[in-house]
Amino acid sequence: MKSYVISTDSTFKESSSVDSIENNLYNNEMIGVLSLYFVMEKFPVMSPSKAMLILPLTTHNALVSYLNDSRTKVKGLEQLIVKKPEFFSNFNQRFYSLLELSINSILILIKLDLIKIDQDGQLRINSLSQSLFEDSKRPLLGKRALNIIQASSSIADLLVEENQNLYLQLRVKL
Amino acid sequence: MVLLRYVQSSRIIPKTYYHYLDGVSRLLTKVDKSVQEQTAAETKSIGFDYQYYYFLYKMIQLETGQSIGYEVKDDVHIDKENGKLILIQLKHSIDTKANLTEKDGDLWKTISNWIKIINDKTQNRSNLANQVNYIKNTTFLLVTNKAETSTNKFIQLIRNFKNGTKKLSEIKDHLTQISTPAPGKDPSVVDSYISLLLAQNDDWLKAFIKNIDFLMSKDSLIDAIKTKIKEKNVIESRIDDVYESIDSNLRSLIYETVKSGKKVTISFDLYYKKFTKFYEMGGRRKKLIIRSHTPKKPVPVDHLEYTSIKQLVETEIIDKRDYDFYDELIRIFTDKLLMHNNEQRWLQDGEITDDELKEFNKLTIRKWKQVFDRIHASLKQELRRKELKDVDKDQLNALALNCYHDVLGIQLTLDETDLEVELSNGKFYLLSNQPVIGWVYDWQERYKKL
Repeated sequence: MKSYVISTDSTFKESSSVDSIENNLYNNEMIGVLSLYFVMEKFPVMSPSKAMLILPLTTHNALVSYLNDSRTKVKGLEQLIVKKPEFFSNFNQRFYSLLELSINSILILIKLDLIKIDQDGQLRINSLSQSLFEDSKRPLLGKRALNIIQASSSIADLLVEENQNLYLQLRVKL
Repeated sequence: MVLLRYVQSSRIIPKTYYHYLDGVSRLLTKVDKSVQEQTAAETKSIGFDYQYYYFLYKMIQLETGQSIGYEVKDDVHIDKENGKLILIQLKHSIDTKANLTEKDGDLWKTISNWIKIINDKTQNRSNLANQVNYIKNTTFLLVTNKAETSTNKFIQLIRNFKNGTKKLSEIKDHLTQISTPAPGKDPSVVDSYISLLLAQNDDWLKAFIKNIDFLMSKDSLIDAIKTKIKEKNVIESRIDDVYESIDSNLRSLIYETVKSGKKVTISFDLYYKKFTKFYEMGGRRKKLIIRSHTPKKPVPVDHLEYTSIKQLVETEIIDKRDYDFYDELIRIFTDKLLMHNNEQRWLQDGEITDDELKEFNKLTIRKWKQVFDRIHASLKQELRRKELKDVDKDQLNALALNCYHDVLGIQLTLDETDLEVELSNGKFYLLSNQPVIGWVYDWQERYKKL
């Protein structure tokens, strides 16, 4: 039995049926779209290569929880990597595994007119469009998505540096 | 005390054991020292010493196409890609205020060693042309923790010769002068070394002096090593770990190499292959966390509808007449659920990626196939002359039984973590449920949905 329901819910239980060997739908386009959009709300113009770094961060639940924890104050990506290397040990593999999803999510956002690509090739959030989901409807998105939305400004802060530095620190193999 | 005089003299302290001197020297007498000196000089003991750390220091800076040797062509040598060679002599003094004077014993012993190497008949360098050719392709480097001093005119002259402000004859004159003993005195050992140098041909000397180099005040090697590690973008908190890993592994490598009678030569490729992993991003738990607590579920009422169970029951691998039939069912469903839940958890936590899981599935199926093909090999041959429907059912079931039990003995590995028996078995049950694997020869025709 295949499961086609796209879920943004935080669920450890079987999000795909026991007997399915198909693509896991835990990290799906809905999560992708929401992650990218809400991080870009706080970081309105960014290059596509920087945007590729968002999903490997937002799909990592432990990282998102850590950023949301009121006790933590992260001063930058380097410091976070030093403090919590276990969040980044397989960043390279996650990056490539989610690359397709990142691109699909960007394309969906463009089609939805929520972001656009300008002449410099940068992604630009479309300020004319309304904020995705009014606050009252948000709880419908599910816990996982809400956590990501809450962490989106912290994630945006992590990505402030130049792309070369980020890719180097995160050890993405190009 | 005799000992203090010994230590403070400018005699070469054999570098293989200077570390003993620090703590133990106060207890040694001159006699003991000689014996130790003897044995230490003869053993190629690999210890914590200056030469070794310099070797490590240069090894982590190897470039593609280069190799580095330890006590092969010299104390340390580096072969460069363009065929050029660097011979390195290490001279350490525990006297921290030691200067490299121009009649320093270390300096001249080193030069005399180099002369011997250059003029080595056994290396086909008995004639001048070959010697000069060898010199031109080699850099002769003396590395020492002794300090430079302005009273060392020899080194000054060498520098000046290199930049063209002094001629060879001036160097030769100066050397002749300092090596001539005072009237009535015999030439010292150093004097004889200087004479040996002066005895070489002018072309030889010009080439040699051009290619000789000194690295003085080179100390705190370990700090220098750690700085190099940092320059490879290793974060501060991990530098010590990386250093310790490289250090201990290099020492083991050298030990094993020497033990098996081989020379210690490390190419860039070998270095890259063996040591890259120590630089990798760390802090990683080596193993995946296996969660063995899984909510208990009763065996499903419709268990006979599950393909994995059908495959077993229809070939009589398990049967309701068995005394432990229900226990077996419980075990099968528990293992299956355990593996599935762990897999999902790892995926959702980002411990493994989809791609890694796909690879794992492929590999697992390969392992099953090896067993399946082996068990059914004879049958496959028979079926070239026979029809499957004519094969005895009991024979088919017996083969399926063997296949099943052999496969259950396979241990799987995911992301460097060994999956013990319940998880490995669970994985095979999961796969046999889809099904992408089976036990009986014609499992695909019987169970695979189109």
